[in-house]
Amino acid sequence: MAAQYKKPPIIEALCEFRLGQDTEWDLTVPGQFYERVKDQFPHREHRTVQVVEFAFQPQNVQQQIRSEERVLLFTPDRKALVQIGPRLLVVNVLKPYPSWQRFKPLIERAWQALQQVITLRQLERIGLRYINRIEFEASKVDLKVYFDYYLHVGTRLPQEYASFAVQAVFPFAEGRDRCLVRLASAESEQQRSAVILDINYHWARPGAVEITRALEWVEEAHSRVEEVFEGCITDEMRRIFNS
Amino acid sequence: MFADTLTLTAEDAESVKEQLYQMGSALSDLVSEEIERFETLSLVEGNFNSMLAQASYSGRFRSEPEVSIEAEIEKLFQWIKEQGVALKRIDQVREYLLQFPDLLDIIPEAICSTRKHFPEGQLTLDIYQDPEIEDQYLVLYVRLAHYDETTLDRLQKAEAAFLDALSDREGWIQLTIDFR
Repeated sequence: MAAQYKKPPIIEALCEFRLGQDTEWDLTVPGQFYERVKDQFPHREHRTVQVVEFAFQPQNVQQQIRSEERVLLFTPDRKALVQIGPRLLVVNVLKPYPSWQRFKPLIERAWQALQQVITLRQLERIGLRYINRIEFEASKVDLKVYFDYYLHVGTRLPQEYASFAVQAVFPFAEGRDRCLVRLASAESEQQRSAVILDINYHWARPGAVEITRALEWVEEAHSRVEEVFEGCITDEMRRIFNS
Repeated sequence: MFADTLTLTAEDAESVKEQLYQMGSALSDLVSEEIERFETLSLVEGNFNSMLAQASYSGRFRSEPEVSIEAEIEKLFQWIKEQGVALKRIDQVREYLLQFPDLLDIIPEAICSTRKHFPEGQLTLDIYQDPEIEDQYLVLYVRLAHYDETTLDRLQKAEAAFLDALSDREGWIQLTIDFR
């Protein structure tokens, strides 16, 4: 974030590129991609993820559940990784957040490597997402002291709740982009409490920006995410991040 | 583990569509049973009612698998608690999973298998930290009121369900009996 905090709450930041369904993709792509980035992401692992598809046809509904292989490429310290799967590229950085100046080159590197191994025709979506985890020493916290975006509970309702989630989607760039902001309770150690502030800035529709301008968009998205983050917290929260 | 394809009859399909058009309605038992199993074990993002609703309008819908490691961990923790499994040292378990996300799809399998073979057991997910060397791994403890000659055999059967899958992972989870 632009405001440099002593204790930044970012637990994960990621940039995802979802490619159009007409993009040619085969099983050799992850291997070719790995060859181009293995100096920086040498540890290769894989995961299986489940994908579900529904298709409504005149006479029936078809539900298909299938597995997709995703390759994970880690840096030696395992604090950054690239996920590559069918028509999907994701660059994740984990805490401690290394700063935008270090995260952005990782995104650029992965994006350029992908373009060297496949021909990109259309992008379905780009997203930049920051997940902040904020921990409190107390088990009960008055959210409005720390957040300018929180759950309001009327006086006629019980004032205690076991868990909560607040979510809104804000339009940006004249509707070209959207930012999903979610504040929710999270699991934590006993006698403490934690919330997750998840800011997910992404295209509102496929092909919103030309492929050649993808990285420009990512830079712009980062500025918007910073603004949204600062808009979600109070000065008291800033004081804690800097204490 | 999952059925590859589930085809509904035209009557079922119309019924589902009708319910979806009215929004927020329950899915047919046939669909929901399969989806519940899928949703539980795959921890996929998304509300299946809205996914189906979108499919009913556009003709097709494809789920987007989660790409955030942290979001997957949070969902896994919620699911673990819903299963009645105790979580100890949550912060350290989270740190471990952030480092070894290849365990995220193994843990539900380990818990389901252990639950199947020890339906009466109290399960606890914790982390083991070797005090002498820099080594740590996850531990799934099974605590029983009574132990007998079948306990070890059941433990081995429960472990067999996920041991092969662990062989090529960087992280590790150990199933063990809690004799305390």
